[in-house]
Amino acid sequence: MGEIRCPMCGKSNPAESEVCQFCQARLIPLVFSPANSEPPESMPEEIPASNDAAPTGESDWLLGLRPDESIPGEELPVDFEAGELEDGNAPLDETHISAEDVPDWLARLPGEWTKEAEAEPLSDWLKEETGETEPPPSKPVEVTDWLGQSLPDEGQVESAESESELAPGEFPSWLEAIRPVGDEAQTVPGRGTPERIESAGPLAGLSGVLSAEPDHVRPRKSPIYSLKLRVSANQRTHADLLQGLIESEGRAQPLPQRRGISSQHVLRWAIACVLWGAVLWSVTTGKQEAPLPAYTEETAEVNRLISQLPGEARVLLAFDYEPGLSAEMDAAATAVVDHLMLRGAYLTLVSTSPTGPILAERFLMKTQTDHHYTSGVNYVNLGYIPGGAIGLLSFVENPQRTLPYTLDMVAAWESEAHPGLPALQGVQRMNDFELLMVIVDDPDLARAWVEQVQPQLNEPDTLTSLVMVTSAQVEPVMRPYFEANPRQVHGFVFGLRGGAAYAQLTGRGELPRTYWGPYGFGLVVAALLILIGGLVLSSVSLLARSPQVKGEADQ
Amino acid sequence: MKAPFYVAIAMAIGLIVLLGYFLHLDILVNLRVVLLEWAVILSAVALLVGTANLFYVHWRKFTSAQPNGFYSAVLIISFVITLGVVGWFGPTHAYSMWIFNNIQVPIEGSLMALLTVLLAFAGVRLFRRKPNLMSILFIGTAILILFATGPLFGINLPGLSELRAWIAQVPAVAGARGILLGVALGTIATGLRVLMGADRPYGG
Amino acid sequence: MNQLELFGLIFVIVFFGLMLALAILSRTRPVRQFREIPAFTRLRHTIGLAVEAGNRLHLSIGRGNLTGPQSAVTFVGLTVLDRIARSTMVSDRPPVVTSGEGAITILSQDSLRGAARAIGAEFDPLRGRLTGLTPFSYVAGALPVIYDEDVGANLFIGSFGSELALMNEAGERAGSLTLAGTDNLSGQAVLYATAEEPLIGEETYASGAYLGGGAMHIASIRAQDILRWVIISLILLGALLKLVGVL
Repeated sequence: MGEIRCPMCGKSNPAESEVCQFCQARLIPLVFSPANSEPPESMPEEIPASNDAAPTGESDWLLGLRPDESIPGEELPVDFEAGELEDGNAPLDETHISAEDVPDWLARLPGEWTKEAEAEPLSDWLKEETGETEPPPSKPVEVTDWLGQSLPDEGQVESAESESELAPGEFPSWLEAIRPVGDEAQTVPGRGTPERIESAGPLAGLSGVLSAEPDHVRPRKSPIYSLKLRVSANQRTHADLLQGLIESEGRAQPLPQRRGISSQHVLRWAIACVLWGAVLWSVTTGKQEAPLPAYTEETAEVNRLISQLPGEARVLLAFDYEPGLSAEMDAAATAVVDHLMLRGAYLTLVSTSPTGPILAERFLMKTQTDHHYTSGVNYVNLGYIPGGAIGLLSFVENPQRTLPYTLDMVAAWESEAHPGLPALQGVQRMNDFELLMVIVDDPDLARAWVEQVQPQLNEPDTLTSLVMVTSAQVEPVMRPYFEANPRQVHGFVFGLRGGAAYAQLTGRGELPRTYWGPYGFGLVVAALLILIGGLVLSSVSLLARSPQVKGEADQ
Repeated sequence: MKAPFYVAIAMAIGLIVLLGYFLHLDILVNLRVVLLEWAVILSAVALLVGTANLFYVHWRKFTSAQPNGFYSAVLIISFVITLGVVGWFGPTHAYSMWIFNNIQVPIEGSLMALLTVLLAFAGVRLFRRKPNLMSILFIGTAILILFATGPLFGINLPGLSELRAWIAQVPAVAGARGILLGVALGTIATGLRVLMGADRPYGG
Repeated sequence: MNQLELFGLIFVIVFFGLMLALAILSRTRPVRQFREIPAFTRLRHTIGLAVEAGNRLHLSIGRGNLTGPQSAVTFVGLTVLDRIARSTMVSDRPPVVTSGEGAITILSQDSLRGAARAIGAEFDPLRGRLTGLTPFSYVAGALPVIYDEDVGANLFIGSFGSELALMNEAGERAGSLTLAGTDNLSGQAVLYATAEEPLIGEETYASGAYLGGGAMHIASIRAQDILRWVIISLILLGALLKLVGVL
């Protein structure tokens, strides 16, 4: 049983198949036959094989393309052997297509060709073609041998000679007719190269013939492509950057090293050494004794108010400064509290800071040992008022309820059950104290005291005065309270300067005298440091900048 | 559901305290006093909670061997010892006072001294960092006050004290007042935003 | 109610009404652009950089309590915390918050918890911590955070005194940006000399509006502007009347 090879996929199929079992391509081409439309018989290998006529309705004569040899080396069908097409246009087996199905443009073609052929002198091979073949008048298109080879020939087709031989490289007339003008001039890549010469079929002997079989079904060796990428310099840079980023992703980054000794470090150490050295020298040698400063109006008022206190006056003393500023505050308040103790005042200590009660004890132990004040007798420490300004307001409105016990957990206030401590005898409210003195380093805290206490002190028949001993930084904020009319704060001692002035007023207070000289010396040294150091640094940076600017200007 | 509830509570209490401050109605005043006492108690409790948080942070830093965990160990040991001594003997006992006088006060005083050096250093660099008129004015004023506050080697320069007093009482007070007014306006605005519920720094 | 209290109440009511009116108006009319504050511009840039570079943000809310005048600036700090926490919680190094008061610590942890919950991240309560109860002990506890926890930027927004200089210096030595604002006068003076990006006066209170706050934040700033000019006019008028002898 014969086999037929599919022109599309190249696989073998049974001879009687009309379509390929694998790719459904037609195995039996359809051939144009104008007179008869008998279905063509398959078997392009058989000669003369009855070719199936083109299916009714199909007018495309190219539908009956004969299968090309797909696999080189394989035995070609006899019909496609070289030379078979040489006999020209007459197909061996024609497929009859009715004249009505032939498109007009196709019908015109042989005539034109014939005319053209007559107009111009034909080449020898063409003459042979034209001479040997007589296009039947009823058939507008001459069908070549290979087209009609598988198709039945009813005699309609001019195929008197079953084999019209074409010389190698010759085109049949019909093909020449439809060849695009100037086709010869077009260079197809590779056409000039040693290319495959068609060895079978109607195009046998022709070179540069397009394969009827698509390349993708033709098994052949895959072309070898070079693995070498063409990479531009810019692309390589980007690729390296990306690679670096990816590689560094999982790598732990080292912590940045703290800079070693730099000019900033040297400058800091130099300033520190100069400052500390100056103060240390002044303290140890005692060579910077200086006269105490003159007192100011607000300091004098404090002195007057304390001097006018009755004996055994009840004084509320608030210690609201931080341990860090205890050096300044102790020096500022020493002379003032000393004056209070000289007057024999009973002291009630409170604080809105957690470290305030302990600071108060320390202050009394350190600076007021001469007076031998005893806790629970001469003074009472009520402890810490929590809640900031709210707690202060609560204490001002109801001190007994806010702080009922002393720091040593002893009932402080006078009640039916307890006689109360001497320092709080007869004290029920804030304005029962003769004097309120607040020792404070923070301007906000100082304002809070004034704002919470003032409403109580503004009540009629109140003789209680409010005075403050503050850090020097508080002065700009609190001075207006003294200069207001009526005064909201009746006296101030501002910083070590105020404390030293107060010490001069009372003639007592060793601590501010001891600190005043070195303090002043340190201030002057600091001022000179800032002035000279600032000028030097600015000059250096200006000089460093000007050559750069000059260089840029020159450019 | 939770957020509107928190906001409603905050707004109601804020309004009661605010009105209680201005309007001296008995019911408002009494409510205000009660609420303020609650706030005082909560502040004290928050202090304890914060202290516990401080302890736990350093405990974890020490036990998980983080960098500088040694200092966390020092803190924990100091914490425990101080709590034990003050809790057992009382805050005014000699042992408690010794810890305060010989450890806390010197350390904080040292930090204050360090601050002095840093501020002097910042003053020296200010010319270079911000070379403008305001910096010159700033440093010039600082230098003048420093010279005028101290005894200046016992030399009494005429007019220096008066100049210092004038600077401290007029431009400094004026500038402080201006800034404080701005801060007061900002404070009122923030308070009103909290009262209206536009700012909710509570309830997550 | 005395005269002063009456004036105070009227002032508060006027402020409140002005804020409401401006907030309602801003819905229909576009709000004019506020003046640029370089600190906030740098802050937005720095937050993004910190997340991208894997650095941590350190926010310090100060030592002011919630029961006094310092509560306002503390609330501002908590608002800033809320804004940046939501932006930076996705980072593998979430922000750390230090404070000098117990109630502020609790609130800061609450804000961090809310931000973590909003994005589904894990919350570590030790990200909000109390570092000390006195100003210098608070600073001493905050310095290791600046040096040892790979901080890219430090925000100090709250109530600070002159001890703020120590923290600014530490931030500069660690090579991280420092942005600071406080209500304390001494602190502001120190800020001017030591901080890279100081917030002076009311600029701190404008943080909420500059960091994407709602219409009420913007309305409050505009109300502040209006009332500031009213106060300036009153002061000048009073000085003039005093000068001519009327007052």
